[in-house]
Amino acid sequence: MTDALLVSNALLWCLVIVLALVVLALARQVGVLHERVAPAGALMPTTGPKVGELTQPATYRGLDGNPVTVGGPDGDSRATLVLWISPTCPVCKALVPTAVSMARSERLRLVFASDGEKLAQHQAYVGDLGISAYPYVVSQALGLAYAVSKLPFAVLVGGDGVLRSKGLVNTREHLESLVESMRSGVLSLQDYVGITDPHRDASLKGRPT
Amino acid sequence: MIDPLIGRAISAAFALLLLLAAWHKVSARDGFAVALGDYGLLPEASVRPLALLLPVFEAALGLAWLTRFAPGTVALLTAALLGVYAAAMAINLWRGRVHIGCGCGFGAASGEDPPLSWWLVTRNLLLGVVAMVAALPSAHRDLGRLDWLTLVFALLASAVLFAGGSQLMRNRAAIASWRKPRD
Repeated sequence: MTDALLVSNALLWCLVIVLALVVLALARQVGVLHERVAPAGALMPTTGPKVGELTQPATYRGLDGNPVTVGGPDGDSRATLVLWISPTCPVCKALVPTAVSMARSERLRLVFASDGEKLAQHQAYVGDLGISAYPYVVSQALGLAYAVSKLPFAVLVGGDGVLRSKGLVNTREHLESLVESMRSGVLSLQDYVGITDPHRDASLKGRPT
Repeated sequence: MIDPLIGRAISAAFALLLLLAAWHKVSARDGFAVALGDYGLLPEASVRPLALLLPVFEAALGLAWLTRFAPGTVALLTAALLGVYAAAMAINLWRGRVHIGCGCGFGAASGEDPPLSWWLVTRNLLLGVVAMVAALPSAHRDLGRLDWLTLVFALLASAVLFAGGSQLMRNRAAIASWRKPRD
């Protein structure tokens, strides 16, 4: 009996130390990841309204028939995230749940936008994604107003109606970069690197932002 | 009443901690003097002498823990030292000087000092409490071979966990620095 306890005690100690080493190694790895992984920003087109400009309010008809206003100051001063998606774009489908969870955690007003003729297809798409709770605008005019050329594209309009950020978004990081840009007031990743470390600016020039 | 093994383990751990801390402060004494000056609590002329005196004091405490010389006084002095460090950090956190290094960076991957945070204050206060536990009267019991084994293992495990904790604090600082642009 005592032997069994002795052996189990020694074994447990060995396991505790191995576990502690694993925890240390993981923590260090996380640290290294933060050093190595450069932040990614959304690819920002040069056409369309500029970031920092006041947007004009425009009302569109939602898929459910209700009017949806995009742009201009918001009544309860919440920022609006407009995400352009399409039933024919596979990346969009993966990004929708991300946008929904981000809108909830960042308290953004989320509007989906798309264009195309077949309304039934859009209705099926909305049901499929489970986003019927959010306004969904099918309008070519809205896309033209913000010069959307590639999907999935997102713009973030501040509660004061000023365009805070915009860009082609493929991942959660890209979406988050829009919010981060609004919060920090830094336009793009190049600007950020320029502020924090002017010497490293050159090495990131090639990166899309 | 505490078991003598607990007292032994705490003594050994503090001896290791204080001697390593002293060694770190001596080997990087210029950096430590700068960190100490950054705290902005001391007249400029006293920063340099104190930057040399503190590690000597830490080393003396470490040796006292190791040899179990005057355990009660040593535990009290150690807790007081940790309390002073915690207070110095807390004052600077209240002042909003969160960007300065803590001057306590060792035990994690090589790199710079972690900046001040309430986690560091908590860590120091907890360490102070643990030091005071060692000052409690201990029961008498002969330590066998198994006890020494436990002591070594416990020491190893706590050293590694301490290093892991320091690393996590550093990671947290790294994440936070991405979140808001530095001025």
